[in-house]
Amino acid sequence: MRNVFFTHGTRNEQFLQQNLVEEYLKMFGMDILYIPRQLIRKDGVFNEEIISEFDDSYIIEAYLENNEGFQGGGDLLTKFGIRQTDEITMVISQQRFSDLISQFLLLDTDVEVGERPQEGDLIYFPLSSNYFEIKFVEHEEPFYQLGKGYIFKLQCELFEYQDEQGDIFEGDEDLVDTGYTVKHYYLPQNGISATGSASLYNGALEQLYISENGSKYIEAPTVTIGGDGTGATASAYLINITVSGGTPTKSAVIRGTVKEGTLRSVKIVDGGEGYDEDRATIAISAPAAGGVVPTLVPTFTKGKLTAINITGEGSGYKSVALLDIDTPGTGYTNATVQISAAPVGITGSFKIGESVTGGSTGAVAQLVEWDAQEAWIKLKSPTGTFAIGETIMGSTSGATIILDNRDEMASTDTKYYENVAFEDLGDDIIDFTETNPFGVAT
Amino acid sequence: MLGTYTYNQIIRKCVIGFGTLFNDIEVRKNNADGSTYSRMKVPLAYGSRQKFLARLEQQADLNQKVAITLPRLSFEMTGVSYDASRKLSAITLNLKADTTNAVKKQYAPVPYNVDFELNIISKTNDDAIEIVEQILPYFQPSYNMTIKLVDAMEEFRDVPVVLNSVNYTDDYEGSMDDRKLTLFTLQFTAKTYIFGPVGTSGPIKKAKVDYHTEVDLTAPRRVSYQVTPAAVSDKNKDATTELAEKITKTTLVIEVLDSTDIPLKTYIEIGNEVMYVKSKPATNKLGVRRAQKNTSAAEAVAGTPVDLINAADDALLDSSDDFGFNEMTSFYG
Repeated sequence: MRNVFFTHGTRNEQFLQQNLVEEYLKMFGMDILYIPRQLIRKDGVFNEEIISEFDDSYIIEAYLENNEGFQGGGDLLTKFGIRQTDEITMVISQQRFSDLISQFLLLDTDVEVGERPQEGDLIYFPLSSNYFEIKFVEHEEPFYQLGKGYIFKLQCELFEYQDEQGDIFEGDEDLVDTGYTVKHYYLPQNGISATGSASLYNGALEQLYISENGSKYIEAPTVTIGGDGTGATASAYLINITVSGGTPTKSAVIRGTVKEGTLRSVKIVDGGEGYDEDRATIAISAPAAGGVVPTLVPTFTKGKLTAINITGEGSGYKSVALLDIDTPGTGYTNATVQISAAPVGITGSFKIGESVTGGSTGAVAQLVEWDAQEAWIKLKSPTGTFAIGETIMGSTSGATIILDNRDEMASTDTKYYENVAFEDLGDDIIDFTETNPFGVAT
Repeated sequence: MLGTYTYNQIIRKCVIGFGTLFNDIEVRKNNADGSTYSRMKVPLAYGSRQKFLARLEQQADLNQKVAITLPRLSFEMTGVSYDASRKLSAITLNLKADTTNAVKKQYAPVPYNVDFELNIISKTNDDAIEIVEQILPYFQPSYNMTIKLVDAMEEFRDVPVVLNSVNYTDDYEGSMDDRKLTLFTLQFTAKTYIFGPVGTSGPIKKAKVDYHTEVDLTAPRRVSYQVTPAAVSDKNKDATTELAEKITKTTLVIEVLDSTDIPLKTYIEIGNEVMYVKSKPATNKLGVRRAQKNTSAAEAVAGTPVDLINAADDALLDSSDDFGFNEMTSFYG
């Protein structure tokens, strides 16, 4: 039994020691951000985290034990690119952690252990602006001086980021692209709506005329015939395809379906008769400036157009090129032509970090970046695929856009990402005419 | 040296093709209610790279905020070896029509296997197997990838990519501050062919046979027979004249604007129909035999061009055209 006439650490001595430690840390330490891990979901099979979030940060003074430089293996070139293996050991006061941080962590049900620093929590190291993950919390060095521990030694290594979410990372430009971000473009300026008029003969539609071709239509607009008669219907087409030359005895009639500016399909309504196959050529209306005329290869059989093969789908067809009477109707003394409106640009202003929802698909995503100049929003982790032409609305701001275009492949970790390069190079040499089981469905 | 310069970039194309297979893999995390929490597109890159470029591209500002972003895919070519089991006759010649009135030719390729290693790194086991399970079902044990190996020949070949093995590493034991690493390594073999140079030859447009009556080949020939291809339809759209009035399927005397340049006993093409001019019964009128050279009699409107089929069309024949023959037999004393 030890000698009871000598003390081995009274509470006051322990307090003194604790205070001396804290004073030392405050004089020679630095302020770091302590970022606790909120464990939202765990995997009971592999004993791993599935979803972690990092929403809060607490400032606390800490002493950098390895003050001559980072520990660890330094910067390594691996088969997975450059891995930075810096490690640090930070010393923090047990009492200060309890006073400053624990009291809040204990209230958070997503925090596993609130009483002490958790392995898996992060430290934002201000000198190099790095995120370090705590790998081990050493609480027994020095070993029970005066019968108590006073510090935590946090052995940390650089964080391996796997698209963990949370307020902490939302504003971090270096990490925004990690994961799955898709640029969604909207119109920088509103489209122009097409207009038209009609002429009548014997109470029925005789001809339709385009007064304004309009612009920026994503697909062919709908045409409504107004007036005092009944039964007249008409369709609009964004491309006009005809057969030129070939001295036919009867002309062919062709209708093309355009979506997102490109020719998707061609229908031969009437193949015509008597075409000189050597001289007949396909004539296609011009696209908007910068567009590409589709490449069509016609097949004539005995002077009749029997097939058209689309070898190049072209681009830039966003204006009404043709109005076609489907049903002339009856009883009209006057008729009006109403063509559905062209898409518009943006209304309101988005807020970074808000969630956005697609009007028709219901897909939800987080808005991580927005460029009003170039007219795009960058959305992260979409729950579905937003449809071209649908309205996307911000949940907080109420801002809306109509989706005009999307760049799905140009996303994720631009520093280590050759996916797009392989896709582009592969397009020239690989024949995925059946299916590409790994590619984007087209 | 061995021969002409050639670089068909076949191994490079196999690398690109192999990379394309795995460039659109996703990892998804779900909430407890099954709804999607987040989606990640798994980045892919070729493993080997120049160190200075890696440093400049990935650490342009000298520092990374995190050690690495995960998960990642990396692949690299690990070997190229000859495959004797797929050897073809070396003298087999592939020919392909050339647009410039010639044929391209290339000898049979040499079969080679290109080995690849695909590595998958992830922070968690579940994400790693999520990636692996998006890959394995397509390799039974091979996946046929159709690659245009030789651009000049438009040579598309099915290149089977065979999955040879799947290795799994999960280092979790040891000190608490050791890194845990979940790694899958998949070994593949792409069975490709290495092609040589592409040559060109013009189509044969004249064949000639000389007949001798004596064994002595220096003696004069007695008969010479020569054939050249003859156009069966108009090629040059010469529009020598036009129809002055419409014709029906049974019209046998047609009226043209000017028949001066239409010789007798020649073929003409109106629309898609070839006719034989057998007479000129009146000024600007042609007596014709309809539906020649396997064409059908058809109506045509006034103003339809009348094309002459002559030697100028013969000269424009290329290897993909149907053609007849012009024959010439010469006798020598």
